[in-house]
Amino acid sequence: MIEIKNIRKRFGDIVAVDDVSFVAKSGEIFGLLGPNGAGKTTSLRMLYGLFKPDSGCLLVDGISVPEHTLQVQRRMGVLPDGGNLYTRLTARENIAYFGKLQGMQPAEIEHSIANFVDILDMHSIIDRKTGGFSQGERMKVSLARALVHSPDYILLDEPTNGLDVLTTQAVRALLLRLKAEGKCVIFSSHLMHEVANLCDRVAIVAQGKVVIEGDQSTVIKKANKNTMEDAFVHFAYGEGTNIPENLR
Amino acid sequence: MFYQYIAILNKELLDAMRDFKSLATALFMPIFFALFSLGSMHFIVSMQQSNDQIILPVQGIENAKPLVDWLTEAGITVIAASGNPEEKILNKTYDVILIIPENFPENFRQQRPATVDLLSDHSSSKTQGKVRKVRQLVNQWSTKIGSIRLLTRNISPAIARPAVINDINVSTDQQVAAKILASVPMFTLLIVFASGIGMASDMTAGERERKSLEPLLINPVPYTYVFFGKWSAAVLVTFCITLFGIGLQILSINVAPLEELGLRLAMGWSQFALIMFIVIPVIFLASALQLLVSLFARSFKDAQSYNSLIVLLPVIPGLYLTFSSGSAEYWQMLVPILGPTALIVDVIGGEPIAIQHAIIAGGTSLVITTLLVFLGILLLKRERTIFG
Repeated sequence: MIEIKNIRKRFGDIVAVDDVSFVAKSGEIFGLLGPNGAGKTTSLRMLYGLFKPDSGCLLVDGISVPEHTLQVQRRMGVLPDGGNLYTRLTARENIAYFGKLQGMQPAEIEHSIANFVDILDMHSIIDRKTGGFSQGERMKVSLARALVHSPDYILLDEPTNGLDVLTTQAVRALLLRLKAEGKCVIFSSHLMHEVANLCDRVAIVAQGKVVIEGDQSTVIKKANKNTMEDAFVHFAYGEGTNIPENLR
Repeated sequence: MFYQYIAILNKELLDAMRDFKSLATALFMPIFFALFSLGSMHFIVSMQQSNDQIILPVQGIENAKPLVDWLTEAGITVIAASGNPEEKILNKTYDVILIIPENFPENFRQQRPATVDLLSDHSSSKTQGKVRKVRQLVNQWSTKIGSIRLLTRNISPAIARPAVINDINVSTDQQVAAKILASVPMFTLLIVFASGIGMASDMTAGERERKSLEPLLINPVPYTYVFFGKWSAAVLVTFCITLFGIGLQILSINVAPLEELGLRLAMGWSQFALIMFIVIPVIFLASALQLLVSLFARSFKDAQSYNSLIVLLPVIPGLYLTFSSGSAEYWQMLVPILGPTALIVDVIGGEPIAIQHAIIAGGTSLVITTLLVFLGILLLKRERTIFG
């Protein structure tokens, strides 16, 4: 279980995360939603240990992230926003490198790569250098790289951003599969149809604070709206904000 | 944990080997320097040879056979001169002409001063070396014959030589050669500082700019290991390129026709090993400094610019030592880069180096390296370093 309580992070005078709390459990897909600049990425960076929170508490399986960063990182697979591959290395070498950094043995790594090649259909690209890859191909390799060590907690920052339909479907299928395996998946997004399709529960972040957390029907009901998109606008941009008719 | 360090080291080496452009740039410098050394030495030798190889046109060879034989023995190519000698000098067909007049044998036999004419253009400084050489040889022959004549009269030839100049050249062959090769130590350290630039910038500032640093650091690897892995990779690559560079330098020194200058340079395996021993601590220092600067830089381009400035560091002690004389001194060993440069100057000059000197110079480099590594790890831990 991931428990985040009242974390706060500021850079100089700017408060990037003011007060974020949520709980994500095993066997669920948890959506961290919010407009650009709301503090989603900063919150996730604190969760995977690259930023130290100014205050608040981050626990993974009851272990404090800032105090035992490496121990927690072993249980996590992370796809950071805009994270890139090594372009002079092949897809296989990219994935194997992270496997080694996770402390896996070569045989385990090979087995895991073979598995992802099947799941994500990477047969034609696995031994090519990633330099010329399309965005979809890069995403598949990045996912396999993040998940090579079969982590229990999976953090994905904007995973379907700019992907074509087929890759989006592949990613979605993978996330559902991970959920079925009992993993805890947290993913951040600002694309509401993604969220509506996938997430069991969501937290909406606006201006560094979690404004609401709960399952989708609860969120929609509390906003007194009909769709997740309307509820999101209601919570993220404030009461009374409506999407203009001509943009629907 | 050690396994992770090896994984980072291997990955960085693989990445560097596939970066053909950076690798080619790094290899260019040693090749260029070796060719430069070889070329400049060939140039000096060919200059010297053009002075040595004297072709002397002689008019009236048959009038003084023994003198002509004496000149030929001294390595001068004697040819028969024809036409108007003065004209030939003025129109620069010949630099110098020796004329042995027809009355020479008669005067010689009568033991009267027998005159020979040496024609040259005194306003041309270029030919004066040849003229001096010919004049010296004729004088030597004259002195020799004079001595024989005195001996036949039971008089010691020493009587005719009240004062004698004893020409002593105090510089040993290798010292002269070291002057010619004064640039080699500086080149060696330039290679050390230049060969890792591309790699150090690429592994740090480049990795951040390409957004692959964040995914890397999410892995459960202590930052210390990440730094050491990258640093070791830079050290190894710099070591190999430096080894290659020094090897090429020594090869070019051995191939260069230095013997023809009368210079002997003992540059063999032991000198090669000695130079590497002196240079290895500097490799540690240079790579750590490059990584630190690259981590500090805001972008890949900045990192490369800063590192290009660092390359100029060895030039300062290099130039200082080119203009100063004497062997390596104790205080120099405490100055980073200066100490190793001074030691390499001595190794190439064929002078023995004090092992304490080498150890102190190495120690100085290693102390500074430790400080740089420590700062580098601190810098890597900064959130701003990771995200720019």
